[in-house]
Amino acid sequence: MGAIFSRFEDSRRGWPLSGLFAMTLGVLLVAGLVSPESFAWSRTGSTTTSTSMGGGGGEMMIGGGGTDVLNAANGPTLVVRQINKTMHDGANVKFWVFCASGSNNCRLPGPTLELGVGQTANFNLNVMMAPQEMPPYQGHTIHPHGLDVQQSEDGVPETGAAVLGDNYSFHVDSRYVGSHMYHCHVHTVKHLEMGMYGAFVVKAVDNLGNFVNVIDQNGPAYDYEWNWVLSAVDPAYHADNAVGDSTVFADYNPKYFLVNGNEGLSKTAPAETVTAATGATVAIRLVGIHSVDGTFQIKDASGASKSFVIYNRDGFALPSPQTVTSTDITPGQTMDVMVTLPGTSSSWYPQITYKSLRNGAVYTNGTVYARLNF
Amino acid sequence: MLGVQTAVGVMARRGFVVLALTATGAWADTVPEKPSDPFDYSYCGGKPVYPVIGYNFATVCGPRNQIAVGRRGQLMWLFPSADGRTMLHHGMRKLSADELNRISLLAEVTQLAASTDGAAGHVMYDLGINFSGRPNKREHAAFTADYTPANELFRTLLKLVPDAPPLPDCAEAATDFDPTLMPAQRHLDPQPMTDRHASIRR
Repeated sequence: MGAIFSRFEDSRRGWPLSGLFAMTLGVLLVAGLVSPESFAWSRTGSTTTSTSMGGGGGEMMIGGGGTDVLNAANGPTLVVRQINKTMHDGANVKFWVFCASGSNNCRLPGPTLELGVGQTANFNLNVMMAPQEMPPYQGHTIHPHGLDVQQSEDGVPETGAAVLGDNYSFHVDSRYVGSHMYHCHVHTVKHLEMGMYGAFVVKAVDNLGNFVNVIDQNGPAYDYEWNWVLSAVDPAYHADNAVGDSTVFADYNPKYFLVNGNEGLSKTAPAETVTAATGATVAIRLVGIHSVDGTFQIKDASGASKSFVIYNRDGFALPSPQTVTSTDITPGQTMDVMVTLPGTSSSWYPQITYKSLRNGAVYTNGTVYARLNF
Repeated sequence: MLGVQTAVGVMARRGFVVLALTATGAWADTVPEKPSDPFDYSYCGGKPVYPVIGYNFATVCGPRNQIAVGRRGQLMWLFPSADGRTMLHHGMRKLSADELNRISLLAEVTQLAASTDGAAGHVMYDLGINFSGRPNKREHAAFTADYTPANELFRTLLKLVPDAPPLPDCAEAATDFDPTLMPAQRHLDPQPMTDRHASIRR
């Protein structure tokens, strides 16, 4: 019971549950009347509903920037909308983002798509009202980056993908359990930078088709799941005249660095703050949509590095897990790591340091901090 | 016999005439139909590819309509409802070889021809053509009955689409506007059309 209560102690989302409500919810959970995945919550004024199938491991997804979590097999429809973000220096930057049709929860990154092993993806892209470039770079697609799908489903216009809206249908086997990503493949140099991306997570399933919360098909279970979508922003790419074959695209000079769509310039102003139970295991899914290099670390309040274990790279299990205190993640790469929290309460600071691909130099404001309370 | 003749023709271009004389019909049928020039951009992975063509078009009060041809010769169209918020017609179909040959020819002519940008019209379109390995062609023009390569290409594509696009009569004088924008955005667009297109026009 304690474990259940701790998992639904929703202060990790900044909305503490009252003891009575938590206890009632716990009783309902035990009685099987409420599934963890059907539980909806509200954070920073937006509603996020987990649509994971089944109640397998009962893990809690923490953080993730408040984006929707959609089961890719349940027929969701994504649309594309323009949003504006004000950066730390007051600059206003336009983004094009995927969002779930009808949710009004349009933010950076796009919704997390989840798909169980052996289940058939069935999701749609509707480009009505979408911001677009002028022809011949009009329209958008969804490219499941890292998943080996049929060419007709891979969203690559150069090999025939529809750009004015499409349905995507494919399935993957157990080798793919782990983190991947999706992004628009129309004029990718522009559209990826504009924010058209999100995490795509392949989940192991049990005999009933419920998601099982393991880091890999045969990997250990986790208590919490935390998506980290890494990205960088060169504001010149976001300007109205940065379209077509603009010479802007000949160079890349990022100025803003993000985790889950947020800057996190210091430990006191982190990109995201989450809370987990002491002693719990936390899976951190690093989804490298950044167009630069990056080094991921976890440090405590005194700056000491904490070790973590890498299980998957690019969604595929390593021959043997690697215990490290630092790892580099390159553009287009994903990595699934796990960390076990101590038994006493404290705060750790997972962080990513963005570096130039040319010379490895750390960018100004290039370290993005998050905070993990336990 | 036809297969052997074809084989001879293909092989002759490759300089293997003598070998071709001994070819059987079955062997000849296996000769891949691909060009001898390895730098021919018309083939990719042994299959023909076509220019990417896109038209955004609208009347000033009407929705943003789109017609596109993909690299593998698939025609796509998206015609929204009058308010631009819901789908009126939407479809895809693979064009026939004859249709694609004609469209490719028209696209090539359009790419080479001078653009007719700048005129005002009741129906405006933005055209883009991308042949692999060549600079993009873009044109912002009014759709009229006059012959221009871009108008002819547009007329041909419209005939291939089974649905009629919504082009409401806006009862306004001919005007220049950006059909790639949504109707509500057209009147809010602060950037003059000439500036907007000058930045990308070739």
